Amino acid sequence: MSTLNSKTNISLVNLILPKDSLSSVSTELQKAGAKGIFHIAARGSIISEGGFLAKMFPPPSPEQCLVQVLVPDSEKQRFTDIAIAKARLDKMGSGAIFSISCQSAQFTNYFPLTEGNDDSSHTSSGDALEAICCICEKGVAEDIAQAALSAGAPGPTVTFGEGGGIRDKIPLLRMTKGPEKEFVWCVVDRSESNDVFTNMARAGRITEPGRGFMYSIPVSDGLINVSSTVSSSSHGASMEQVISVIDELKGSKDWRSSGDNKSASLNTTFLKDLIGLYCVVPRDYYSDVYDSILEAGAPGVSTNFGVMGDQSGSDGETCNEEWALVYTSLAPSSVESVKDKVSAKLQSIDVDRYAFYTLPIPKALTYLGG
Amino acid sequence: MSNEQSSDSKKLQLSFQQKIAILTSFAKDKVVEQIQCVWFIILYLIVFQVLVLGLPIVYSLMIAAGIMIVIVGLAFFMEGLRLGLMPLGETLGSTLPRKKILGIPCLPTSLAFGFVLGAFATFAEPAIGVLRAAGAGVDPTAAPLLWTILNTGAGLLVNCVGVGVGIAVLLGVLRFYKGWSLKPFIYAGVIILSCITLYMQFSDDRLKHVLGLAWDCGAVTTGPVTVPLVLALGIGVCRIVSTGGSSNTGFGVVTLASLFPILAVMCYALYLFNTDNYYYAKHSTAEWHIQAGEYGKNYSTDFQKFGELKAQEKIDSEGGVGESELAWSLSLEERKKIQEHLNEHKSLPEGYAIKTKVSEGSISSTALEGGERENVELKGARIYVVREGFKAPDAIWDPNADIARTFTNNLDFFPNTFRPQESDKNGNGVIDPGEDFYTIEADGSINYSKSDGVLSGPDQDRGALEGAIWAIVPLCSILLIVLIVGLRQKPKHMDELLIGIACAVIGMCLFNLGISLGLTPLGEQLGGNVVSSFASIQPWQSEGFIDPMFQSSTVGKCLAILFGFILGYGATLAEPALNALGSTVEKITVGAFKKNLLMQAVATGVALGIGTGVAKIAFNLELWYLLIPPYAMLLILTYISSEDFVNFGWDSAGVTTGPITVPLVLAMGLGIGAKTGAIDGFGVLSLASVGPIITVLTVGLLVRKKPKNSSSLDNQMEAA
Repeated sequence: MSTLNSKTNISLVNLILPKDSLSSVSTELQKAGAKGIFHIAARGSIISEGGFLAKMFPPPSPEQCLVQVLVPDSEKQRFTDIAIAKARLDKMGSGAIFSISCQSAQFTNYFPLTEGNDDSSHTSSGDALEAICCICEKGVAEDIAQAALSAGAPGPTVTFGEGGGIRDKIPLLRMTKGPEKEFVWCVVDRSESNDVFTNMARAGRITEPGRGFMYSIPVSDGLINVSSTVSSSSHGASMEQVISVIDELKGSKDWRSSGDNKSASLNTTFLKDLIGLYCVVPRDYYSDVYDSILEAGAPGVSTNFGVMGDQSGSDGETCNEEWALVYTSLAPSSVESVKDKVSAKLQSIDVDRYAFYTLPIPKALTYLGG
Repeated sequence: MSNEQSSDSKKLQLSFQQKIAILTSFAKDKVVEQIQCVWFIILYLIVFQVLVLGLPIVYSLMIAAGIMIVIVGLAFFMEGLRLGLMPLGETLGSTLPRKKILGIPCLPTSLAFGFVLGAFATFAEPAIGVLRAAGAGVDPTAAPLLWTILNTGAGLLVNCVGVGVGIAVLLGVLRFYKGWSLKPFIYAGVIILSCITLYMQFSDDRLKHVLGLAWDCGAVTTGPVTVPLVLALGIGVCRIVSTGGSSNTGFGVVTLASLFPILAVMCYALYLFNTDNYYYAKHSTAEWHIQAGEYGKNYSTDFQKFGELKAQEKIDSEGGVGESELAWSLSLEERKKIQEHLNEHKSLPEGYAIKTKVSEGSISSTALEGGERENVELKGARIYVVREGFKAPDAIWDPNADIARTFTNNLDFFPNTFRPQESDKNGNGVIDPGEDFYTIEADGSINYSKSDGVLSGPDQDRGALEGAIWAIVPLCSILLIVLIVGLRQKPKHMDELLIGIACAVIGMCLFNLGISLGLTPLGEQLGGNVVSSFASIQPWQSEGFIDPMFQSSTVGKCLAILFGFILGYGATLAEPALNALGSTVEKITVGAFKKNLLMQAVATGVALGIGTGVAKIAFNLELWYLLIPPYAMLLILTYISSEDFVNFGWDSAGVTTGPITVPLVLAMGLGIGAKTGAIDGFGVLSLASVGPIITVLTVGLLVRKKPKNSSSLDNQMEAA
């Protein structure tokens, strides 16, 4: 029986990297002492030019990887600097890094966790950015990503995963609706976040039943340089470069918002002040977590799969260890009870490596019935 | 999200009506999805037959019913892949590298399992029936080695291909573990195959004819069940063993599974050739046949006699009539019919007419009384009874189509298509024990008492149901047993898995049935009729003759090539294995590569390949002219392409020739081949699998533009 250690002052550092710089950055972070580097395969989004040829032969989107590391706040800056230097994240189109402060985090002893000082103070440099995540049916993500792009979000990133809720309560007919979901992530300026959020919700028709769930998380700091166009040789500079130059000249990003207020608010109520509960477990046990979260009364649950970039298997053979990131959003009052049920379940099947962390979700949107 | 909302019962109870509603909308979606895949090819075939060739569609109702069944079957089958086969393969693949079976380390067990899976898949889905159809008209005297392999050596041929595929899967799995790139395998494979091809082309005429068979073998071995299973398995393995930088994502096994059978068949042919263990033709008067003398001395005398019978048959049938005489001649049955009609009614039956033919140029005249005018008689004019115009049967259902037999083939699970036609020589209508094979006594009488069954082997003439069960159940059972008993891993949703497998069986079964009722008759009549663009033919299942559409046969042949081109494009889009590959690619790259990109590229490639293949048969070109240059080009393309496109591209070559394309293409190839004097209909399929590799790699090079992150651009900006 392993006990859960609670820690505060933990940040979740996220990196969005193109596939080719992934392994070098990952090893660099590992050398610097980071543990539990979680890789989730992802794709970037590019502005589709339409046209017959593009429809017949849709150009491939850039392959990317979403990297997540839980680090103590004291180490956060150091890792961020390392990642920026190694991946040259200050360059256009090279990727993104952003960190989110966790409300609380709990780990078992065997969970790979970066060592660090516990008692440093929360050094949040203001919530200038906001991360928006939208969970939708497979095939819808492209529309949502395009909507986000047109609303000004740089490089929406799509990952695959599983999700469910009501579906898992239907006995056999559940197979008529696959568990596969797509997750659209984007990090935007706080000033733009409402526009982007609304646009994405509308494109994905999130407020209609069975369409998905979306939420935003405040990001403490970040550097977003994901490219969203394919280079065409006819231009010397990419659109992102042009925009960032204007940003610099103007001194702010306010010029980007258009004059007329096109973002007529969605005709719906947002869910406010939820808590996102994340559970990281080896993939073999994810279905236990998934089921026990649903059993504990959570309305929906979703899962991302990935590998721990710094783990190697036994026998000296290189072997990936697959992990799952199981996520649910809950009302603050029920977080503890769900967490207790899940950890009881995990301990009953002798799982000694798992972690929980919670993130604040100020705003979420889904179908609310009625 | 409010918590109260969710505190309902653990399992939702649905009313019957709700269940039906859910299922109906689900089924509708799936069927519509398949219609989107199939409509193009169906519409094209119908439009071509009716508008371009101007012929009615024979058995239209049966064909329409068959097409409906195909669509429903495809919907079931794809659902079976999604729910059953692919999750099963992936779970197994991701468990194999992590758990030991009986204490044996992972690598050897994975390799052994790969070999068994590959070999078994070949026996489960033997596409060899397809090859036999392509080689049905092979003349033993013209291509003795090819004839031997296809007939008396067919059982061994299947074994060779099975071992080839087994080794391929084994190597593919080993490649995943070691993180090797696919490119060296391709270089080595292509160079070795090209060398053997050139050797066989130029060393001996007998070896030359086997080339088409060998290359086609590579194209047809991977069927709609094997491909998704092997892909899923590879993806599962790669999820575990591929590390950070390597771009091994689970593809490439199908590529190897297409290259190795070619090698296996070539080796088999060389082995037979070098051991003189093949039919030796003495009916031929060709130079090398007379010189041959000792060849074929190890060939069993029974087989030898069988070959001689076949050769004699071929010679007899070739003693028939040419194209122009065909229109003026009547078959034995027709002669009987006319005689009967004449006896009864003193007139010709409907549809026949009297025509005269002038053979000499002189006239003789008899003077009329008291005038200058004379009666003129043409000397040497002869009167013939010929069929009038052409007449298609007005039946909308083929009276000979036996659905029960198509469906189950009388539950004959081990039909033996390799028995010679003469096997029922005692004429009692059934194949008695001992009629499988026979010996020919010295006095020429045939002895049926010999029952060694040497000519039997796996085949594709099973009924739809047996075919489906054969293709899916044994493979899935092996996978399930290894997973549950060997690895002690219980799949997450066993119920979904079993329903998925059941769906796959039902789907495959309906699909097979629909193909034999709908697509095969449609493909055959169109394939046969398209020849009318350059030769006068008797339309499929119809009476009478139609004249060539174009006076110049080259123009007509070009039309046939164009027909093949569009046919290849449409049929490929409907192939289930390609659909599965497309979805897998999309899944593996998290949607970065759209399914549509791959499917369109592959379909264009197959279209090019089939167009070339038709040209090969129509103009009777040598196969190696058409194979070696593309493969040489492919070596260059492979070298400059990125690893992932190399994987997708080469894998797509293996999946293109499936159950929809093959019957359509083959019918056309054989129809054209018969008119142009090609020895066999081989080569179209192998060309159809080179095409997509070229197009996928080319498209890959064209569309892949790197997102800007180069420092040079940054410098530009700083400078600006």
